[in-house]
Amino acid sequence: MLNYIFKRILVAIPVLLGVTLLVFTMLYFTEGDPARLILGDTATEEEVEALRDELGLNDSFIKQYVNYLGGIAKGDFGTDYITGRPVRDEIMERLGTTLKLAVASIIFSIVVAIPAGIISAIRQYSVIDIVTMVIVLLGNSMPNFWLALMLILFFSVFLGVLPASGLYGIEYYIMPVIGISAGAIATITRMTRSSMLEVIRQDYIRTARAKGQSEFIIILKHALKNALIPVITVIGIQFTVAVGGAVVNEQVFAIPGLGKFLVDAIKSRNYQVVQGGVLVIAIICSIVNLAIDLLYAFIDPRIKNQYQRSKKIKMAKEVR
Amino acid sequence: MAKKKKGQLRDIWRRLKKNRLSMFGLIVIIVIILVAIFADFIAPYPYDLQNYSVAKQFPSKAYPFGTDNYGRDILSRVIYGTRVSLQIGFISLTVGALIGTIFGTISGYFGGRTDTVIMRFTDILMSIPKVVLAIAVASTLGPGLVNAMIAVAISSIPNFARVARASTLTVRDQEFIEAAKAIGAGNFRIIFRHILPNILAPIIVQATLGVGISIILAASLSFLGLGVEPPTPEWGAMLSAARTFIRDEWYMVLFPGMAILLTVLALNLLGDGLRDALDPKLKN
Repeated sequence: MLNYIFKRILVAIPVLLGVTLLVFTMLYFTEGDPARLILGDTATEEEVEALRDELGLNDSFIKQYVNYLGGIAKGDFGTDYITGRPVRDEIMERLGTTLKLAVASIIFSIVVAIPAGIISAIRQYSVIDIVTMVIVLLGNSMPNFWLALMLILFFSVFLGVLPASGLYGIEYYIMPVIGISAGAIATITRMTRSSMLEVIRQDYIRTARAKGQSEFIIILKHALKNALIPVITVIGIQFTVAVGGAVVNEQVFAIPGLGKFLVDAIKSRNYQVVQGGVLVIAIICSIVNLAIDLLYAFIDPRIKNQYQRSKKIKMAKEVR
Repeated sequence: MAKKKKGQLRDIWRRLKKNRLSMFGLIVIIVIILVAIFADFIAPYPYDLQNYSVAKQFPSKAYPFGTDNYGRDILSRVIYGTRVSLQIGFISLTVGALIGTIFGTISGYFGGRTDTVIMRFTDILMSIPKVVLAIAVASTLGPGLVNAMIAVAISSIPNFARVARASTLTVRDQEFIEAAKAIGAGNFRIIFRHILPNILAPIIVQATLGVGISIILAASLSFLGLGVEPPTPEWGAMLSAARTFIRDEWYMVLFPGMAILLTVLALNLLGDGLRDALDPKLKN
């Protein structure tokens, strides 16, 4: 088991390094001279050139990348050229908001989608099942920002019961969270339903029924345990999707999170901020996916066995 | 061989035809494609005709979807918008699917170090949310139609690489591949003549569902102001411009979104049906 955890963490390292290289390369090739942006149009060519030297912009690609990586290792994400503040501080101030939205959305999706998927599966082709599947289909077919706009239209404009912008209290979370989680709810419901349908047709469920076990316990204890294994794998991916959803929905609800910061930074060509923002999002998504993968290994006996078996074979060989 | 292929296609079509929802999706898609092609004849007004005397008109007989703040007919703009969205959806998806499938197949076929490198690369792309990746690419290249397509195409590569790799793994060790190797076929020939035709089914399904995802992604980019720029009638850009008027001119926000919903819904219905028709075993 430790072997697996170790291996999985080892794989995550080159991926994270690759993300830094990708983000750095993209911004390296972005048009526009950062030195010119910082100094403005009034600066002379010599002043710009001097600043380019100072910032290391005249160094080779590799040298610049190594310096960049060294900075990140020390927690230095560069300086926001508009405010003059460290990008790290600015990201940290806003990261919490985005994460709160993403985490609230993923929890909401799980709480709604797993029961919906189970009920849909055990009442296959019933009215509940059909209604659920229609909602799933719709949830997969609309852009989350448009759903958010429709929610604003209904709850804020027509009914006037929910606030349409900002994030100052619990009621402010309702619409953004529904908007962000619609896609995840659709995916997880569908996954739970099909996984449950497969499991409840297996022999051990028939055995449980034959011995007179109550249906409730069969579903909750015997079936669910196996049916949820594939569902857990998609939760990591759905977290990544939810972070992306938060980035877009912050724009809709004027929420001052990392996403809004990022989009505003692109418009003002504040590339240090863009670089830092994309990188922090990628790192967080990687860590969450790593955690889900490890959790999965603990839950799925097949992975556990695979490693224990290989250990046994190895031991047997050594004995020989 | 050719005859057998035809028979297979007819089988798939026969199964697909039985699925009423999918046929509905297919018909809607055909209608939308026709609307895109004949937009010049169908749209009642040019998409960029500004007429301030009729600005912000409620939907009426003359303007079925109402008019925007410049007095432009929203129906005409939604109709022309099908062109832009379908273009982005189909072109970016085709490019992404081609690149992803080739890399995925190579990865699955050769295995070993090649596989590790390609899969780590898709891991890198997948660790960034699609929207954020597209935002990053769009910020590098700048806004615009072509750049939005490139951004969306790059974001769709990893999905195809994964699907192609997984399918290649199931085909790779089968006897007919061994037979091809035995008669001395090269790797290139085996991949293109023997593996690709056999993994097309899951890739076609992924592509049908992928067009919808690409359309939504492109709309999101334009909504954030990083994709197609006004006055081009793109649905996401229209929603972005209409947002400020949501309080009084709600119809400006409603119709472009409905267009996205209908298009993607139709693609999803068709994709689901195709999956069942291409692989009847999977249907529960």
